[in-house]
Amino acid sequence: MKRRVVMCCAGFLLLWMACGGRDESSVVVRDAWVREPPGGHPIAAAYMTIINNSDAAMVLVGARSPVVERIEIHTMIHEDGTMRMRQVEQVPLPAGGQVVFESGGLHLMLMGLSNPPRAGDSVDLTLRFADGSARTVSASVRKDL
Amino acid sequence: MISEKWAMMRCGLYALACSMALLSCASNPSDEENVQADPPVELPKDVPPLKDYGGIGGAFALRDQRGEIFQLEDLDGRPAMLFFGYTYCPDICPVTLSKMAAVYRLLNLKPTDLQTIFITVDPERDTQEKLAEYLAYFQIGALGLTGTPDEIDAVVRQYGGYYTLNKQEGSPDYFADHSTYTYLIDPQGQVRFLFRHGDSPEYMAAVSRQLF
Repeated sequence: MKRRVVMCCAGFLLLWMACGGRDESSVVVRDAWVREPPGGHPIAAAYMTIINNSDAAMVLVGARSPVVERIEIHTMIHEDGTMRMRQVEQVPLPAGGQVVFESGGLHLMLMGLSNPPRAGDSVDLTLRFADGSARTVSASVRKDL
Repeated sequence: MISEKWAMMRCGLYALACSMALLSCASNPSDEENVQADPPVELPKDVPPLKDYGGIGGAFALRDQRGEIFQLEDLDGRPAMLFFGYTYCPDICPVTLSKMAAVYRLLNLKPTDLQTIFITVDPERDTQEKLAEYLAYFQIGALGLTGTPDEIDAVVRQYGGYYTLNKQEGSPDYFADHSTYTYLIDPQGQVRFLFRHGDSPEYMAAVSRQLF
């Protein structure tokens, strides 16, 4: 009985350690996906929703992946039937807020894909934040629009 | 105690989010299967009529991905969809070509019924081989046209388009700002509609149907 209580306490302690404080669970990434590059082109765009569940504002400053030379954050400005794409250095993630990376808007630009992924593959993307923390997500490769 | 409760609540939420994510992953393949099952799609009925754009469009000649000269007259009584883009374009161009592919499916058209024309604004990187590889992916028999920058500029001007290449010194990668209209061209070679980037494939199909 005593052993069970100790185990239970230890379990609870581990759970508390895993979930408490400003750890990785304060940032949740949903629906991360990469558009399959047509014709095996060495570039691709990645999309996702980043949710900042923490009480503090965070800032996305970059991303990296083992399958790609470099990743830039880009946004698109669509005016008068013309699309202008611009690199952005950082993306603020307000406390308790979310930022959507989507087609026609903010996206991660994967440049220099060593082996262009195919639909059904997945690509690990590590998001880097201004406070030095990082979050790795697995993005599925799809043919979607 | 409050913080423990809070931590537990967060754990619970986290677990819920994880299971939702897992569930959503698991349900994706079946969603895709449903899409492939070709459900009957109702096209919008109230679409604008075709128009005349007297000031833009007209004949031109450029070289296709096989190295052959293509002239607009070569359409020979077929309608066409024309778009200016480049193969290094990560978002707008593949989305536009995928939407065009959807128009063929929605109207049950063969590539010989409607000609897709993709004119590159980046002839330096878009070699005939690159254009061929890139366009084959979309399986709609798209023509990939290229020429000298002057030749391409003339066609872009003629169609009221716009582009600029944002080359940066020391970087091999660059992207273009470019107009995103898709031109619907009738069998006589006249521009009859301008699709905007936000138009859905269903809308594009419903408008294009007026040409058949």
